[in-house]
Amino acid sequence: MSHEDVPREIKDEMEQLYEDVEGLRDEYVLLDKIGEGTFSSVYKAEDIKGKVCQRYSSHFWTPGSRYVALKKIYVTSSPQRIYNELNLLYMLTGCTRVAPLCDATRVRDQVIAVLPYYPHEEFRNFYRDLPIKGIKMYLWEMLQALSFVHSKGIMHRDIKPTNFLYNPEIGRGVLVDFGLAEMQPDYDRNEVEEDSLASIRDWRSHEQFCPCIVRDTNKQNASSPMVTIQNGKVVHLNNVNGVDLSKGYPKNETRRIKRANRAGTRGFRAPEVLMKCGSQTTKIDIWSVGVILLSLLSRRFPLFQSMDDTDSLLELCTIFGWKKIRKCAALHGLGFEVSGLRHITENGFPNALKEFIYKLLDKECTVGTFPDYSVAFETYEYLSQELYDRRSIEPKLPGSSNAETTITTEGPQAYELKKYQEEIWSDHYWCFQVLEQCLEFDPQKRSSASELLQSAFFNELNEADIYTDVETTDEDQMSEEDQAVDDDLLLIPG
Amino acid sequence: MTTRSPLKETDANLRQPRLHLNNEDESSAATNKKRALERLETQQQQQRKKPKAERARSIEGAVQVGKSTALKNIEQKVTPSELLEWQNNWKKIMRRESRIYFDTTDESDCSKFIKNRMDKRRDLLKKGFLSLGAQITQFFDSSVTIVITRRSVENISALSDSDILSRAKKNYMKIWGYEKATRFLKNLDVDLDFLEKSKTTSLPEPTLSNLLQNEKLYGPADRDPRTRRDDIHYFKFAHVYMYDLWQTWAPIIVLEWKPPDLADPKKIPYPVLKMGTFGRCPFIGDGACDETSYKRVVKRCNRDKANKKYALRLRLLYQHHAEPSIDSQELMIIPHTCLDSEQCYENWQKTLAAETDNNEAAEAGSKCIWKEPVPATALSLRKPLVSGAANVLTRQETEDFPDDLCNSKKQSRVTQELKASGVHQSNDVATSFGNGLGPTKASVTNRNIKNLSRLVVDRKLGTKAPTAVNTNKITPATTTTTSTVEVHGTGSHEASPVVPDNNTAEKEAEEDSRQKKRKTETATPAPVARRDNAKNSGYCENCRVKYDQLEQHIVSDKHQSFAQNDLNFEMIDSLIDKLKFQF
Repeated sequence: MSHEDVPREIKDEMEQLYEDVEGLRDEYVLLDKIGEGTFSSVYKAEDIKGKVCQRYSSHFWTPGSRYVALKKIYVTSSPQRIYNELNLLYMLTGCTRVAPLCDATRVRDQVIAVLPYYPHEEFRNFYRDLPIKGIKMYLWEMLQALSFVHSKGIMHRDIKPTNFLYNPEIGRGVLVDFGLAEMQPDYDRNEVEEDSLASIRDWRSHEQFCPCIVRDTNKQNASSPMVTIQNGKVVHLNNVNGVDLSKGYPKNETRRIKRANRAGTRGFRAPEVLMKCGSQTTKIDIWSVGVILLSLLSRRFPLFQSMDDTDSLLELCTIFGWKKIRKCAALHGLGFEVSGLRHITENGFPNALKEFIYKLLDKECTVGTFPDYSVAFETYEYLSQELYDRRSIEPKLPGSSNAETTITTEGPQAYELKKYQEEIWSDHYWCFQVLEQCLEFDPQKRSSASELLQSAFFNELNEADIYTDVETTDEDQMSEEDQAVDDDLLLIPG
Repeated sequence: MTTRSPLKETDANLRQPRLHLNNEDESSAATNKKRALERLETQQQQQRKKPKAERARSIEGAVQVGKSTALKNIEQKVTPSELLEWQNNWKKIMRRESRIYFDTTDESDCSKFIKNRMDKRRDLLKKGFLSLGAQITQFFDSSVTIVITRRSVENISALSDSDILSRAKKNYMKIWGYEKATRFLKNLDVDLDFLEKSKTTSLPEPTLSNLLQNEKLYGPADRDPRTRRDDIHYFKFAHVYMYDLWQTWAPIIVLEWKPPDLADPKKIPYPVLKMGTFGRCPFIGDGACDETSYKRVVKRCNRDKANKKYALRLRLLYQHHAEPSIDSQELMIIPHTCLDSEQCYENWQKTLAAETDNNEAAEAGSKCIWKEPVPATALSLRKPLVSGAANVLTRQETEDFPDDLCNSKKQSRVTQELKASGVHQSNDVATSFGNGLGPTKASVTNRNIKNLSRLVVDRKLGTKAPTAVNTNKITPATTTTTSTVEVHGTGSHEASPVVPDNNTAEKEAEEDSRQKKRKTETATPAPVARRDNAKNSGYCENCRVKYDQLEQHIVSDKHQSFAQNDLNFEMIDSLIDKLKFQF
């Protein structure tokens, strides 16, 4: 493959990098610039000696590939930030679904990190066409990655399609960009619980504290006001300062503005992030997984398009209804009032997510924007059956009553199709369950990555027991056609 | 005790016994109405100790009582009417002008157990006072009228001048111990036992009936916590409000719209489900794009044809197993009953064929070329997004927005990378992002323009978190294939893909279009110029300065002294050493 067409500016830039980082030339050949962010630029490069590729061969999707991604971290980034990211990457080496830090170098303030190069497909090129089992594989890979990351106590904080590189041809995905990731602090709820009501009052003024962590699962602890919050009976707390602030706000606000880590991408932020919960956990990543799954099932991307956190919450309101948001707010010690807004109802869609997805697909099915070969029809038919035709449990072939249909209702072909549909239907059933588990508002009730991996949705993968070994040699599993495809041409279909 | 506490906690203070007392001593009651509580108190005190000689102020300031009169009244009893009057007086005072401050200082030799118990009592007292409508302040200031302390109130003069209690005394505030406060509440018929038991539901919800009842009980008093106050803005119109129930923090969301703002159903200022089609964000909808129009149907049909091979390959790969594999070439397709793009196209063909008098349209249709005149509305949308004053980018998202589907770009599997590029051809921010499905053609321009137009309108709420994320006014374009731009957000993080992202051109087949793209980039000088202004400015986290020119900044003495100092990079170096060691 030739990189001669690389424009002048990029060539200059790469030349500059060679000069800035002496010794770089001996190890890597810069080929092209492949990405740019706030804190870094990424170049595709070749590992001359091949030592990185050899050492981390299990991570490389294409056997024998010598391509690596060189991440040039901008000199204006603080060493703390750089160290945080590199150290997390280093800690996470050992899972083939997380991009490992293969090599790094520093010359004065210039830091370069070397990661494997992954020939992936862009999400927006396959989200409309990925079949349900493809969605399963995508999710499996993503949850495996997260399960590993979370097991190390790390929150990724920015789970979204662009940070999960997936190659549908080989069914492999890798989690990248830990620039926002952080260790989940140890929220010691026992310490808080031992204290009396009075000191919870004091705890409230800690930014790291959120009442959501001191909820008691057994309701015996009725003296704790937190249980009151959990039950939704929260009004008595409004009066703490002798002023009722549930219907208005002080004109002259003297209270501090609560800050919380809200890093991440709007549209993928969990409700607790939007509500500035001070005790965020790895569950925030699971919510983001749910948003991606919602995108895949409804064949819409992006699914949320909010300008800010407020809009994000209102978007959730339109789907789930304000009652659910209010209940969630109460978990975090917040009150929530919506009044006079058209289209925002108390309960949102009657069947919440399923109904929402159905309505989205229905719109496209009515206007005719899916191609005739679309896999979205499967989900659509499944939902119309489940939501509106509950009498039959068995999958029904649409049009099977229609004499004109090309599919005969008898014979081995029909049997195969029926079998196929049953399989797809059951996949859908479990997939929607996973979706609901991901998009659970209460972070404590939201399933963890490892719990989700135990879902019946992933039965066939759990039984196959593949890819679960962290350092398995994946080259063996590459199918023949994958090997035939050149590294750079891998993604062209056919 | 220097300050006398006239109200002792005894059964005699309760209503029924008092009635009894009254019957016994009816004659003296009338003349000594106002001293009722004094007498009540002293009656009980007598049994234990002698009345206090010193007495600067009377019971709770309701009436000024001299030393001598108090002594004279010792034997007198309290009548119900006197008590009622006293109660009414105090209830009024509580509602109208009492500001109560709870002293936070403990006795020095206070065990944790006792502290906890006192804390519980304090909370109970707070509830009691709140139920009377008194105001409890978090901070001590000169407006406080009553200070309630758990310390001994006997030796206030011995405390330092800066102590809350001595300051309170100097300002003639009442200083009550917990004992006294409890007695006081009991005499005002506040059922503390009940409050304690029903901790969790101590205050009723402010429903209308509650409010009415309160009004009946207290009258329309200013200090009722639920009545309107001048210093509070109450929502009048449609609003969204998310606030801290404990009032520790400022509200998280405060939004209110005047009716005119919501009058136009097409311009609702909050997210509304528009559903939309063709993979678009349901909150954006199709906007000006009519997917049923002939033009769009043809485009979609072509796009779907181009994409079919890939889509069917995915179907085959994932037909029977989650692990991609192709067992057979036989495709399982469940027949559907929906309208699809091919049917749409055929329907149009039929319609056009029927219109025999419109030869041109029929011809255009058969060639899949759209020849209808461009509607005026579509033309008006075809201008790049203008970054006006309202377009303030305050937070950089790590998400890269795909293009609008409605712009005229041709997409095929091969030229996929182009999808990330191009000018938004809508001046509506909300509709200017797409999902990559849009057909792509030569109107592709610099991806920077897209980034520049990715402006986020900040509502400028007073409640915005002052995080670094929000400090950037305009954060410049961040992704470009051509420039040496370095872009700097302070607290946010832009995607820094490890592997080819949107602008990767890994396929040789793409090279052509890529060249084209780069050419077009240079052919659009206006946005490039704008980008140049922004591209070199940013924030250096190490020097903690904003700079206008990156090149100038990084050679500056300050930055260089940082860069040259290995100590600053010790952590990173040790990590790199660990990595090098493995080879």
